[in-house]
Amino acid sequence: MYTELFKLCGFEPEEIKKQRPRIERAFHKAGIVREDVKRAESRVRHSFDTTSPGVRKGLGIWMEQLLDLVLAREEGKKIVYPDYPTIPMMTLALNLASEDVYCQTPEIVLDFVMGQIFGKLNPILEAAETHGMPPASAMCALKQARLGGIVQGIVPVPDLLLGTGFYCDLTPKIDELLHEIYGVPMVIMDGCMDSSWDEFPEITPRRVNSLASEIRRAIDESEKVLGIRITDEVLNRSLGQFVDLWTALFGLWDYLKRDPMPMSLVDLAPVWWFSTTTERRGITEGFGVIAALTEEIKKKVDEGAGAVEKGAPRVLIMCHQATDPGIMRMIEEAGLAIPTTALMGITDAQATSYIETKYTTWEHRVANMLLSHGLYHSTSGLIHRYRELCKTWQLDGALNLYQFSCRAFCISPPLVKKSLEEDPGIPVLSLEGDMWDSRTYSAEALRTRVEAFAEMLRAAKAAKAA
Amino acid sequence: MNHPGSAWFDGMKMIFAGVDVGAATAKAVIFGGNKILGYSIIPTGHNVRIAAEKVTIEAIERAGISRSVHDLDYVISTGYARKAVPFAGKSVTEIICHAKGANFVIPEARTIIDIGGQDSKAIEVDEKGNVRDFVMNDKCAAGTGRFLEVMAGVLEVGSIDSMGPMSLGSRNPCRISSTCTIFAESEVVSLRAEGKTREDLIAGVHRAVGSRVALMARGLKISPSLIFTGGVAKNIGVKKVLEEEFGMDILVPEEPQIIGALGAALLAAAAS
Repeated sequence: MYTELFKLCGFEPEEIKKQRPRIERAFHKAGIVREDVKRAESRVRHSFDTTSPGVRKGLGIWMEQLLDLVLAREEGKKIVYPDYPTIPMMTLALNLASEDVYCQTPEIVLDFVMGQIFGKLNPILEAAETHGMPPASAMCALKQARLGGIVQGIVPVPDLLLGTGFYCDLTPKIDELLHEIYGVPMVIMDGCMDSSWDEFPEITPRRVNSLASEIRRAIDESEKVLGIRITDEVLNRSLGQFVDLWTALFGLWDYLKRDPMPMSLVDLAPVWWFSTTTERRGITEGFGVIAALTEEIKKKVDEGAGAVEKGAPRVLIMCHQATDPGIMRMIEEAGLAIPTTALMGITDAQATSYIETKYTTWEHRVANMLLSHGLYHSTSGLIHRYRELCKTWQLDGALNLYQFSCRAFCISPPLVKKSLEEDPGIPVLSLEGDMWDSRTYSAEALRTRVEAFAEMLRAAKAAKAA
Repeated sequence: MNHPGSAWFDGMKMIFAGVDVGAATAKAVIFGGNKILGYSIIPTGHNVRIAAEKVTIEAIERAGISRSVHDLDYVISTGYARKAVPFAGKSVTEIICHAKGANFVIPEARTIIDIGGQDSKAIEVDEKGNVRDFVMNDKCAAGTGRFLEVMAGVLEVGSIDSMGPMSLGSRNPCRISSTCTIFAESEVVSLRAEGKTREDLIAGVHRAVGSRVALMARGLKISPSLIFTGGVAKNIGVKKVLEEEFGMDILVPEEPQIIGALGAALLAAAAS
């Protein structure tokens, strides 16, 4: 029943045959039945460019990541669930430290595979709502997926929870709930996003030292709980692989600066998500997919092919697809090119942090890299990031599709609008949205505003050209 | 609604139409020779395609023209069902159309507040009727005509329009604190049970709609030449609340409900 779906996701018949026992066990646990598979086939065809071998392979890795996640316990793994936003270098280090460790953010796998591919995320969210979490918009649905996956028995109970409370104050709360229900040990990397306004892009040693000490503590605790050794060699290897991955990704993103924009970001999202969750498979197989997509995109540039019309206004969007590709597709249908998102682009501050030599310990370097992102530093850091991305990518506008259920993120829309309209002087449309939950927002509900914004940007672009 | 200085098409032989198929009503404007030749407003009903055709036929008849909807020189559709108008050459969002239409009827208008059946929006325009910025209600019916319709039903008032004059008799408008139509309905029912007068309840409902829309519109630059369009603009009570909120007189076009359709017709003329 699933052969066609796996073929669509880049599997060869031999691979499907080989994986059959795992697929059947995982699908059984995840409650995936024939009608879900049919729906998934239709969603993949509708949402993604299945003529692209790279896109298909990228989706295939996600399908396998679902199998890895669901079967982790019965395959004898020591399971660690880091929260999102993750510290990708830490996830990578834990995965590299021992073949016995499976370190992955389950909510991202569930959102991507059960959400984007199967369209079957809602029962998982609803399960969380019947097990102690407030309904729908009252709580970040990403955190609902973390709990819901476990209570539904899709996702195994882990051996360790790694909370990233330095950014999101909800992640420690949900991990506390999981600790209370299942008795799972938890380590929270604490912190505070407070800083003086406009301090960014300077990252003070106070902030770096504080976050670094939390990261170090989490590494030490992980070693104790899991009974493994995370050596300096492993830590440094994780950093090297992470930088290599981002370098490869940015080589790919750079082609999106071309006009017409050669590929849709919807189709590139699967590979981007590898960089944030950095589970073993995503990293080892991800490089190959990025290389394949880079070749495809080069060819499209040579042919002058575009995912949107040549000359289409180019916009930054703040939140990109996690559960529903329909919203980004609708933005493209409105005639807007989305070459980057607030999470995907790289800024000068970030690039500098990758080669920064001021800090010598692994944890200090990681802390500095995280804070240089802007998003994890402060609201002014976030705005600085948006501004730099708009300038670097020479964008015509910004669609501040903000995550309304995220306290760290939703405070900024009026400030973002005012700041970007002043410098670099581009129009901003603020749209309330939820990248983790398609129950509250849909492409159709946003369409009129996006189309009007597109018409406005086209008129402004035409006037400028005249 | 003639605009002598307009740069729009000025020939009499070509006939254009703008069709605005909204959530509650469908509107059509027949335009030619730089003026409105006829218009019509009908309930949308359950079939948007039929509504679009019917309203356009009615507007053509009122314009005194013997053409079918397919013989018009160019038609642009707008409104939430804009993509379901088979005889339209193009569809344009109602935000762009309202800006054009408002600029035509009141050229000095720089801010437009439109409250329709399903949504409310505030639009900032330049001197040519181009949209500079806009905001629109997110997902909630409070602050829309639908909210007033529900309240008209609860309070057994015939129509939204007739709520306006009734509210002017209020001495002590009720405070309707909810921003949700369903919960506000419960609140109004409770207040009615407490013995509040219908006038005070209606005035409270208008205050809830007006203050919600004003809050949304304050995200834009509000200019002194503010115009109010859409079906709710016919309600004098809501207009009064908006005037109090913004501390200025608000202009309401002769027929505020057809501004989107007019804008679509103007764009159709410009496109030819």
